[in-house]
Amino acid sequence: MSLHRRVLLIDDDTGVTRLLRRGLEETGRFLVRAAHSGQEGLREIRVFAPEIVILDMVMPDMRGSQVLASIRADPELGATKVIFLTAVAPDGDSPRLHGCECLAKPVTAGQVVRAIERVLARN
Amino acid sequence: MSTTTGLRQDTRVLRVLLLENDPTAADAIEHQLHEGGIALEGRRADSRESLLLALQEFLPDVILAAYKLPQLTAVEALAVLRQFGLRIPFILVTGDHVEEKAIECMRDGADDYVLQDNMKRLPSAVRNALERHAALRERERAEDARRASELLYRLIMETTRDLIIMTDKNGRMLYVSPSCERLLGFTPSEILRGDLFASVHPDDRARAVEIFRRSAGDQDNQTLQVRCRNREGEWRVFESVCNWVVSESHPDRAVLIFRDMTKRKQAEDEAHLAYGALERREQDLLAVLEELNQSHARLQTTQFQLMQASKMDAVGQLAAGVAHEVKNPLTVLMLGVEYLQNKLPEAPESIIETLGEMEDAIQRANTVLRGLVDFAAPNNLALADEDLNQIVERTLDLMKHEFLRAQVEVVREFEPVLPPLRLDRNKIEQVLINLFLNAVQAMKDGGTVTVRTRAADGGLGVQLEVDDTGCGIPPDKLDRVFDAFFTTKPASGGTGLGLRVVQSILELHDAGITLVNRKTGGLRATIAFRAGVKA
Repeated sequence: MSLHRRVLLIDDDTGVTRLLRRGLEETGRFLVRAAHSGQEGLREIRVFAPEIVILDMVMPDMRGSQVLASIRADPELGATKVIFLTAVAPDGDSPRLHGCECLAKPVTAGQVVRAIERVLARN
Repeated sequence: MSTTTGLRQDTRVLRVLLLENDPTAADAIEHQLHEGGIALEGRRADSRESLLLALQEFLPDVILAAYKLPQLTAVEALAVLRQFGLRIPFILVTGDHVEEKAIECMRDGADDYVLQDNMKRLPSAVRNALERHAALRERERAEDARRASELLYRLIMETTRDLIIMTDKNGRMLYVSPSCERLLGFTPSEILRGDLFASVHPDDRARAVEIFRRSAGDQDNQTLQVRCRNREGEWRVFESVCNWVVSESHPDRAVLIFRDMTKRKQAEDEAHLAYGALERREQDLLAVLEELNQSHARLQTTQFQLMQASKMDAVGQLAAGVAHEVKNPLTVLMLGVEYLQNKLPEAPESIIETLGEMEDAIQRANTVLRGLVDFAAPNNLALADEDLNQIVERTLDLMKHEFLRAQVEVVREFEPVLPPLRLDRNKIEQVLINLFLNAVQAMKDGGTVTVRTRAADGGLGVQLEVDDTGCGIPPDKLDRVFDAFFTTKPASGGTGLGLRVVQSILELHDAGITLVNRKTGGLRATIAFRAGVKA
């Protein structure tokens, strides 16, 4: 097993995925891939088998919550961790969506790293 | 002299009817009367027919008659007068030999007789007869008048439906009108035998006696309502008035008039009852109206809230869309700035500074977006009965670090027990946070925030005051601070949305906010929550 945590970014904004991927990879601790729609994201999950998915909520083809439902519905993918990264986060210090941690845009890569650490630490 | 009779000379012309068939004798009579100072107009008749004609046409004042004419005797003439009910002075002028007959004629209605050999007496006899007739007519007229007056009086007394009693000054009854029989069932004589106040209700008696006594000699009569018992033992209600007679011939007499008010009293009582029922009905209706008014007010409040909510809903959707579209680019900028900062830890000061300003700009833009979303968000209220003191306390707790950092002391002046309010707890917390943040920002060098609560609006509403010791708001800007995007502190990142959000949320709670600069410096925000607002 690699030391690098496998992270999949699903967000239709390529600027966000490109810069966030770079920020995460700069830390040297993550193997990052990006998908730019819900469908592409679900395909990538099966191919890439990430430990954690950073999931946008509002995308043209699917809502993030639908992507999450597909992940949860698949026994092979059931253990995949999900963190929402969205412009429409609920209020509060540490809001949650559908049982998952939720980060509000705009974020820094540092904030995403700390969220990933928190979620993985719960195992 | 014929004027020696002592009577005044008659100026008027006397119409004299002579029952005489001998013109010479007639002339002699007329002459005698002239001699006696009586101006006359004479006419002669010597038969029943000519007598009747003269009575109709001539209208004699006096008749001088021979005892017996060939076609008419004095007795017959008197019979004619009686037959027609005529009273005309009638004097017989006759000879000695018939004096006894003449006396008989006087029994039949003749006034006098004058013997032919004593004709000088004729003028005085005529005058005497005229005077006696005049006196007689006067007496008859007086008698007629008295009878008419009596009849009128009896008609009044017998017709009146009021009971009329006359008493002396001690209340002894002198007269009772017959109406008492109809009113009370007693005859006047039965009443007269008793005491004036005997049939008056015991409860009314003392007052009736008192008023009777006090009114003696008093011209102002006083009306009194008394109950009197009738023959069947029922109480009848009378309105009585006592008038004291003003008459020298009958002093110290009182006329009491009793009017039966029983039916009117009953009608009044019924009317009173009906009126009472009406009043109660009116009060019921007023209560219903009041309820309707309250319902209407609640409906208006609800409608207002719905309208506000739907407006806010539209704005909210727009804001959410804008936020989403803008936040992705902001994320890219944020990640980019972070990346460069990490990449260039040793960069020249100007680059570090530029990146820092970019980062600030991103944060500011994000704050505006958050405010926009907040501004539009309070479209659904989760209302519950809340204690405002608790909400204030929780908010102060949330913000205790802010206060500490800004060296702001918090003073609580809470009314211990407040009426519950229908509030959305989270939204009201947001209101308080915005107010407290404004207060903190107004006190750059620290200060005091005083939070005051007290019951208002008749003990059903609550008033909340937040005082600070900061810089206040310039008076010319006070009326603009609730406008969206208006801010007094652009340099320190004011979005111009805080108070707008506060006002929107309070409007949804049907509450109002006012801001005034305090005389001793600083600002006072006053929020009035109204009683019993239900959404």
